[in-house]
Amino acid sequence: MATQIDTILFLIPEILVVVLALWVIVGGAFAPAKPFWAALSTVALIVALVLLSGQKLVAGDNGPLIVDSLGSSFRWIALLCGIALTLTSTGSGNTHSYPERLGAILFLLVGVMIVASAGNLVMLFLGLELISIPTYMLLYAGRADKASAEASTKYFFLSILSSAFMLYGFSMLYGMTGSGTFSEMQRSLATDPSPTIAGLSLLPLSFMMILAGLAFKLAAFPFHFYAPDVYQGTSSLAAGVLAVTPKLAAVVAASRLIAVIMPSQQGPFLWQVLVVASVASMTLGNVAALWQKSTRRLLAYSSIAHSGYLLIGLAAAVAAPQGSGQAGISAAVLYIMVYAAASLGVFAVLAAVLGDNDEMDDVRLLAGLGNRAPGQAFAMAVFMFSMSGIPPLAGFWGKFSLFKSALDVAFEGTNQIWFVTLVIIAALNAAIAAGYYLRVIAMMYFQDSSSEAKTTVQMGPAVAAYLCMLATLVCAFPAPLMQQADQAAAGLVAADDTGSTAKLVQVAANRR
Amino acid sequence: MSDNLIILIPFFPLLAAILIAILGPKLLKENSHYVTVLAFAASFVCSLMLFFSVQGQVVEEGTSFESVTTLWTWAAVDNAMIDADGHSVPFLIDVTLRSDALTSIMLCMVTFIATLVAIFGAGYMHGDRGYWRFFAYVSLFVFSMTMLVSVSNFLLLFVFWEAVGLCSYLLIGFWYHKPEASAAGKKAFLVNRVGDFGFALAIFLIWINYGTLNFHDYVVDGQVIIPGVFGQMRLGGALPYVQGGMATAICLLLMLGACGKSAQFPLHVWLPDAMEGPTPVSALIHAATMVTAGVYMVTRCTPLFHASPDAQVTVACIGGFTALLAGLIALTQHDLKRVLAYSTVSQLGYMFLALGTGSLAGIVAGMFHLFTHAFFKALLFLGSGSVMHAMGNVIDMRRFGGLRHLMPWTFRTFLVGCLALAGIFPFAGFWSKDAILASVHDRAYPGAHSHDSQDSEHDADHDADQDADDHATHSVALLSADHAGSNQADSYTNIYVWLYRSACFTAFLTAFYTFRAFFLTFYGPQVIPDESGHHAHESPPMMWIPLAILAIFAFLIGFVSELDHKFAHLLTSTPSLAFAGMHDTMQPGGFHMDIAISSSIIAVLGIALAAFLYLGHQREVEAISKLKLVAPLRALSLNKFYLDEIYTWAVVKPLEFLGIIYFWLDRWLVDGLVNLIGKVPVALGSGFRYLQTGLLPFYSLSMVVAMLILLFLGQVLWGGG
Repeated sequence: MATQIDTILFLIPEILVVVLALWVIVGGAFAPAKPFWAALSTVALIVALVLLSGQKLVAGDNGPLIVDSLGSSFRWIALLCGIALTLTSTGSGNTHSYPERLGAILFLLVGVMIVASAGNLVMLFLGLELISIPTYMLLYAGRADKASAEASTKYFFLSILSSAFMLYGFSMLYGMTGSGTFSEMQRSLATDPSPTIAGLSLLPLSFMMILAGLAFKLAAFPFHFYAPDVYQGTSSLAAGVLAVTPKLAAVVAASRLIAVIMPSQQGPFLWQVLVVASVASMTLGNVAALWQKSTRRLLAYSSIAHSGYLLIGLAAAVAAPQGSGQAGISAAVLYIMVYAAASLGVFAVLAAVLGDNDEMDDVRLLAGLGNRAPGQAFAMAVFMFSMSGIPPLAGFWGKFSLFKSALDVAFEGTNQIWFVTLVIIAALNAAIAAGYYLRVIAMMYFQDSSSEAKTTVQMGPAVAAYLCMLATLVCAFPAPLMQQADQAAAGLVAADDTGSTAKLVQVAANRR
Repeated sequence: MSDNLIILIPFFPLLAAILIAILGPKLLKENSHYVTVLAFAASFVCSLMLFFSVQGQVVEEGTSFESVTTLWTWAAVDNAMIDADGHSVPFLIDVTLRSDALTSIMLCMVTFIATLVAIFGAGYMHGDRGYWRFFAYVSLFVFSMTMLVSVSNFLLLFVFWEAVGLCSYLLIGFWYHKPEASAAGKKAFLVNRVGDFGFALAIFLIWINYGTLNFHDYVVDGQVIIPGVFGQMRLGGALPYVQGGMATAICLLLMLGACGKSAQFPLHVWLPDAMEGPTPVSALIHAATMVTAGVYMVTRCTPLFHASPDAQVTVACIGGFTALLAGLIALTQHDLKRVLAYSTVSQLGYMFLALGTGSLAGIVAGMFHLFTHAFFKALLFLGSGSVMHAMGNVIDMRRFGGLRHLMPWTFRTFLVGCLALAGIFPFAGFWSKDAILASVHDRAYPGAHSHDSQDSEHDADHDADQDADDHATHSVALLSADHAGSNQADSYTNIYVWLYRSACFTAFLTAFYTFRAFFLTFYGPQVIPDESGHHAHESPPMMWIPLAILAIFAFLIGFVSELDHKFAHLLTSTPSLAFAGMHDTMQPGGFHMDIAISSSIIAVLGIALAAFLYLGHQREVEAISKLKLVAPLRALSLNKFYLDEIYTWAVVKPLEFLGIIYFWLDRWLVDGLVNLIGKVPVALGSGFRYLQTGLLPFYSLSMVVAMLILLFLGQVLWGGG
């Protein structure tokens, strides 16, 4: 069948990366030469990017996949993150397990890419697990000491638990609609928006479970508990992976499930849950981060806070009136992009200046970095400023568009109090967050380190950090990025006014 | 043609300022003055061309002439205000330059003096560490000053008003390592803030009452869209000026601004201290140009002041009182530059006195005095700078004397300046001071010079006919207000009588203190202070040639301008002065022979007294100072009437006390509250830390419980609803 060939052609970048990953793992057993494998996979990832950019987005029967610009945006992001992570991996963790770790990273990138274009529940779950399983390995393999064993065990159990929640939710969704394909589920739910069985409403049941699973991936309250312990107990590289890739997957999956499958007119409960989770996550993350003395633990709380911000966009998308949900999704997409750049950059800097010493991550180790490694310190400062949302850096524009999407909802609908309060709390949180971000900068520039010797900077992570810094600085002119995010969200929501048989999920028109 | 000129005039100094600021420290260094002098000279040439072009057009077009050039729109806000009639008024700020008689006269004066001062300054500042910085500041100042007199908008006027203030601050504190200099800079800046505050309030009131800040009418396709404050529509009488209390409020606030910039009582205290700056700066900024900005502004706002006789008499009183006060203080000062500074304050007082008469004659006289004063006061300051240069920066007149043989050129030119300041025929000051006294006299004794006023009545009738033709709809309100105004004004006649007497006495004081300083400096036994290093000599040609040029002008300019009332005829073509209200009763004043003679006698008496007391041995001075009656008065004058001390105790100390209170409030109350708020997140965070037990069972249990709560709430709130 032509469609199968099309689907395979469409997946060529993913296939390339999978082949590469296998090659790295198998070949690495015989020749564990770091530079070679890093260079090979960087080149291969660039080739995959080239292949990806050559693809045309053709709507049509693509089997289990969805071809749209949201998906391709996230595939792009995944490959770019892959390059940064590959470079970072050369400087972090012990050498003998290096090929395995690199392979694991490449596999989980494929997981992100599959989630990005998954068109049915099976593909979606497959993608999510393809992210989780290599992560278990990565968490342990980098340090292979007691702390990392504890961290990976915690993550393993809790991740399995959350996957179970989500899978249960998926199964109920399948039971309600009789199909695993998003477009069919959407059609079915549009005709019967609130199926019940034995007095139980199935839709809330399944959505709450899926939400719990995705909240775990995002590390949002109250499913965030693992993050601080795990970040602290693992290597800088693995923490970087954990801070970015599950969140990417969660954002794209949530965008599809929430904005597409869920039938309209469902009352305010879902977005109210999202708003509460958002407020709780950002507040908890920020106030707890104020106390942290471990850099990675601090960044774990910071990532919880950022999940809270991402939830603003999702809540706005759910609460928006018919067919105008793309503003919230677009803002969340923009935010995750700038967050990914800054976050990967931060962990790259840590890997560059701390190297293999992953058990050492006291914030005070950064003292005097401005003198010891001026380039890396500057990059770190840029990331910190960006994350705290200081204009005109990328982080500011991310927060700006999130707040704007929430305020638009507030002033269009009747939910003014909820969203205005949300934005006020989010703005206050940004101020609190500046407290610990700026403390890191102050530590680097205004504190003297015990030793005045220049720090040996690991080259790979350093390059990754500069690339991320470049991205963050370039995004001080956010117009192209915003356009991309808008386009991604628009492709999602403005599906078929022609009534075609819909790869692209139908939303606005049919949600009536 | 004039469009380009009016842009080029400020452009050259701006270019010079930027060039020197960029290239000065590394490249230009000791050659920075070339850029400045060239730029100023080019500006001066343009100003002259503009002047003749304006003059030519005035002859062609008759009584009122203006030409505006809009560069770009700076701010535009639709529906900025709803006026009294319910129309929405846009807020439109164009960067617009205007050329009219008033502007072109000011531009010629400013650029001419600036050129000479820049040449002088190249000699005076030679070898200073901040050589390029000096010329960068001066260029920036001249840019700001030329813009100040040529913008056609109150907001921009205020912008450049502040810009010249900034340059003044920078240049007073030029030698910032000297504590006196930086203190003087701060004092000037702070005292000026008081005035600027008033000016800003006045601008707000003008906006509220007139719905525009433009001087000119905003015209699109020949149709007046927004009538300007001094546009043809209002000047012609088609639209009324605000009358009554509001007019007085606007004018008094404007006058407060003018008092700050032009150093009038009670804000005059900054100017004498400003002499800490380099002497060329004192000559250019604090004598000839910037300090006259207030006079320029009040002149420009004549129609506003015309609407409020109360404000006019206030202006006259402030001017007359300041003139007298500063004259009295100048009598006893030991510092040559301070004598000149107080003399500047006093002469500015004269100008305001003239403006305060409210008659066209008075305004012309005030501007004329501004014009001539710029030449001879710049001359005197540069002369004192030349002395200072030779004396190793000593300026205390007790420490040098008898310099006439040592510094022949300085001596000669200084003498010309002194004669001009004292108002001796035919020097410049004579003509303008006489014009002021005459205008005040006319105001104090209406009808005393009937032969003059007959002429003017004739002219006035003629003009009135023209007006009637042009503007059939002459506002009734305006007429009746004029009428009421003139009645009310008559009740002020007594005040003007006293102001006239005071002005005459001040003329005597002026002649006296000028020549006191002159005799102390150049006559008597030759005394040279140690600081001069015993090689005191005449200044180089680069310094005395500008003096000589200025001396020629100080000698001639009044005479030439007064010929055939040239100056008056040109000036009265300025729209602000050629408006309907002005034509009714007023004409440029005539030359009053009796006043000229009496004022000359007064001046000669002053010089004679100075000669009697200070030429030769000063035993008379000693004898008089010891008199019981005189000693306290002398102390009063020497200590500037204790005004600085009064301000310190009445204003500075209470404010400092308040500052201490606020500091403590801020430190303990406000900061305490803020810190308390800051503690909240930290406290919250410490609570959350205990949730992070690190135990896997706890984590999984909390996830499951959270899940169950979500499911339950989902059923109740979502499924159920």
